[in-house]
Amino acid sequence: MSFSIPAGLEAEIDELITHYPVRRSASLMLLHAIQEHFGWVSPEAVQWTAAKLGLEPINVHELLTFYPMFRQAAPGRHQIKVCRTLSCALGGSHALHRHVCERLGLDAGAHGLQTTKDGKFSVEFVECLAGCGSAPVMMCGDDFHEGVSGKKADEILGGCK
Amino acid sequence: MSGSSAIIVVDDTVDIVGALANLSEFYAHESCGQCTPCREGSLWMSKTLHRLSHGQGRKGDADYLLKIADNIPGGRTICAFGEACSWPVQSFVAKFKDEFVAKGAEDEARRARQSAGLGGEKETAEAQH
Amino acid sequence: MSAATKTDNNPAPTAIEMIKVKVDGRELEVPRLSPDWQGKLAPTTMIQVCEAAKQDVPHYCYHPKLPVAGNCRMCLVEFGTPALGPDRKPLLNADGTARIAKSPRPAIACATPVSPGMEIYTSTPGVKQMREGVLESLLINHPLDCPICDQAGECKLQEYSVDYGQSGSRFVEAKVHKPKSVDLGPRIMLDAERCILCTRCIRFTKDIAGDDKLGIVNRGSYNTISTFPGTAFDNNYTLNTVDICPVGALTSKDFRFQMRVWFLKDTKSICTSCGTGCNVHIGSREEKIYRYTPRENEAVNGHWMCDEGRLNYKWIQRTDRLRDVLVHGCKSSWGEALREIAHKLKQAPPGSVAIIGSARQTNEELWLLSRLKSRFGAISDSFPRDGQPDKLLVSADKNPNSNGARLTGISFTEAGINLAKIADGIQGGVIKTLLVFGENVVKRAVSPAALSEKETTTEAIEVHGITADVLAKLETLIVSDILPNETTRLAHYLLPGCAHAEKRGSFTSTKGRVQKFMQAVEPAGDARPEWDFLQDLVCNVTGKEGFHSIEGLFNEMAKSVPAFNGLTWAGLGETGVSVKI
Ligand code: SF4
Ligand code: SF4
Ligand code: SF4
Ligand code: FES
Ligand code: FES
Repeated sequence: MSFSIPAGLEAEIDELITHYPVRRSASLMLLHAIQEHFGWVSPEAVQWTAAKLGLEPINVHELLTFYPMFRQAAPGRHQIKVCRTLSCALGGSHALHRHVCERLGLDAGAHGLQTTKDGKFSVEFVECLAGCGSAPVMMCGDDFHEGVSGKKADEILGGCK
Repeated sequence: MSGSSAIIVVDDTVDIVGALANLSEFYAHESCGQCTPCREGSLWMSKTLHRLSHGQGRKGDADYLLKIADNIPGGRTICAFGEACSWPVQSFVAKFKDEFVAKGAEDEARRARQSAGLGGEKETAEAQH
Repeated sequence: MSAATKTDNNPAPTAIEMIKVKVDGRELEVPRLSPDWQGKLAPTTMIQVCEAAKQDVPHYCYHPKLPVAGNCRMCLVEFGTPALGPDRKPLLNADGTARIAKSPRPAIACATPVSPGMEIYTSTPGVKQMREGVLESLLINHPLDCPICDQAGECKLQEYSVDYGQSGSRFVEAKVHKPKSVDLGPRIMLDAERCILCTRCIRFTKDIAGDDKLGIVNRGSYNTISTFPGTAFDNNYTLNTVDICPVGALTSKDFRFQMRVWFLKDTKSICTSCGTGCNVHIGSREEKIYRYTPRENEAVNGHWMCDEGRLNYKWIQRTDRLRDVLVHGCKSSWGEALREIAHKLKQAPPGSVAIIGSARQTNEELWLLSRLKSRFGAISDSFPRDGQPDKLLVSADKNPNSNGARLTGISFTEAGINLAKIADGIQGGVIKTLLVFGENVVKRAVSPAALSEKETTTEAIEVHGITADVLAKLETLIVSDILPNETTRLAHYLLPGCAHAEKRGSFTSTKGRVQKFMQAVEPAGDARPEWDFLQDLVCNVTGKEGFHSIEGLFNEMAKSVPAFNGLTWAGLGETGVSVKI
């Protein structure tokens, strides 16, 4: 399957590039746009991005592997992120993460991205999501949830189609 | 001081060794890895604290941690993240040294009992995380 | 440091302001600006000043010919600057000397410019402790590979650990494991666990080779050098990264596990694979060559050389090397063969002798051939050998000594223009005696398809008329070469010669650099350096004594070849002398 970028996305990307004095500076924004569209950034997408910006693929690959919010594999349809860092940990995020994993049949001991067999959910135990005041914090897709109890987590998961 | 100018208030029920282990794991994860002292020091401290908070501590770990932390800040790194990752270790150990020493001592004593065939706790299960 | 050290790279020393600084208490005057990695003037850095003061500052990421990265932190030093009062006037001590305000924070010597009155401290307890800290950090996740590591013996991690480290490790945690034996490209292996992430290799390939193929993937302590997955690090300069890698992370597939570096004998030589004349070290042991590495010469190759030239040494050790003097196919001796050849030459009527030299021969050898040429009024030429040039070092001229052939009068402005005349001369029966040195004329009259190992693969071959049938018409064919080929098989007199690594001599590069090279290994069998037996031949023919030593020969040649006037063998030094070409 050859990789192609839909015309709409390419137009968006071309516009993004105009925001920066140097094309290379748009690298991160391009990766975000691509991940938003495809759910992850494939090696083909890295090559496409590099060519678009006049870079070598390794220059883009470095960014992709550096930033944990970029995914190098396709995630589930709904992406759950539970915060692991101190405030949330003190507020019960380990229990929350375990609860979510057990409910979805995933390994509660793993921190990295894991996806359910049906491809519906993926779960990650991540560093501070910048909502430390209302721990524990969890994200479902782009939605931010604060003070998440086990019950609240069940509701959030249940609300995912 | 837990690092980059944030205040987290905890009460005395909180396991201070575990709290520092959590923070250090955060710093080890965030270090960009460009310069040597921060790249290697942040993960070293995190590994030590993980060990200490998982039943494999040593009495001397408090001083060991301080020595690692002292090798990072003071203008040796490219950016201020190096300072930030060593400050919590320096301050936690300075303020709660007895808890760090006690934790290590307890682990050492338990290991001694086990190797003498007296203990019998399931250490392996505990050490897993 | 003298401000006006004149090198060929910065010819016109403009007046640069000098400033006074102190290194560990010793005052010295340094220029405010110094050449940076590209040779452009930039503020003089602490590390340049310390080098001038002969005060060693250990460093990993800094390399004088690469952009500064400042990441390893090994070069941290302490320093102070003149203290100023509220009126911005310098404060003085009681004894009238400038008061120095010591900086509370250290600085990396590789990236910090010096300022007037600055004092640099490289040996304080604080500096010592910082170096120990950096070394300890580098070592905690480093594998214990030294006994099997190719870098051992020339490893900066080993060296600095001995010089600046502390004994024993406090590290009791599990080490980070990374990929070992990563195939980075056709000539390079990476052991990511040994890498100290100094980024020299990345900067080299991006900023020097112009091939931005390496990068760091992942983050923090898991940082790893890599290419984009599925792509190879394969430009023509990759092996330079092995030289500049301070540790054993990058190794040459050709050299790895072949030989411990401390057993290697070092010989100063020149690469012969193109006309650039990169200076090289030949590493050999017991008459076997193990590697070439670039030898620094600012006027020629800087610190670098191309991979093709570096790896083009194996043919020297081929088992089918010509080892014997052959007369009409039968084994003979040097004395007998040379006497017979001299006899034949002396009887040859004027105009009946032709000489085909090789622009792979040395200046001295070509000059001796040119003496035979003038003695017999011979027609002569050499072969052009054209290839693809690149932007960095590789020259379009694949001969190491085209200028030598021209300056000694063996070939002309355009090498090869006489070949057709020689072919016609033989065909027409005018030319009856042909001397061929180091060129397979028959092969070069056919297709470039199956080139021997000695040939560089990129060269274009011009077809000319000197075929085997033409050679068969000669009364006398005298051939000297190193490897057997169609021409050597047709020779009436076959004189086994030497690779440059087996003799001494000099070449003149495309840019007119006259450079000498030394002998690394013994010749194969009865083979003798061409200059050596050519002297005997010239002596037999002219009745005049030879010079016996390469020094005497070179100096005599320098007197008689106008371009070389004034040169002496000793005066060439290790890096050569530029002449007008
Ligand atoms: S890189 Fe140096 S220190 Fe590391 S294993 Fe090789 S020789 Fe030893
Ligand atoms: S491979 Fe060698 S040159 Fe490249 S970053 Fe690692 S240590 Fe430095
Ligand atoms: S550029 Fe030419 S002289 Fe230099 S190493 Fe390559 S082939 Fe040899
Ligand atoms: S610690 Fe969880 S959001 Fe900051
Ligand atoms: S040599 Fe200065 S930081 Fe590496």
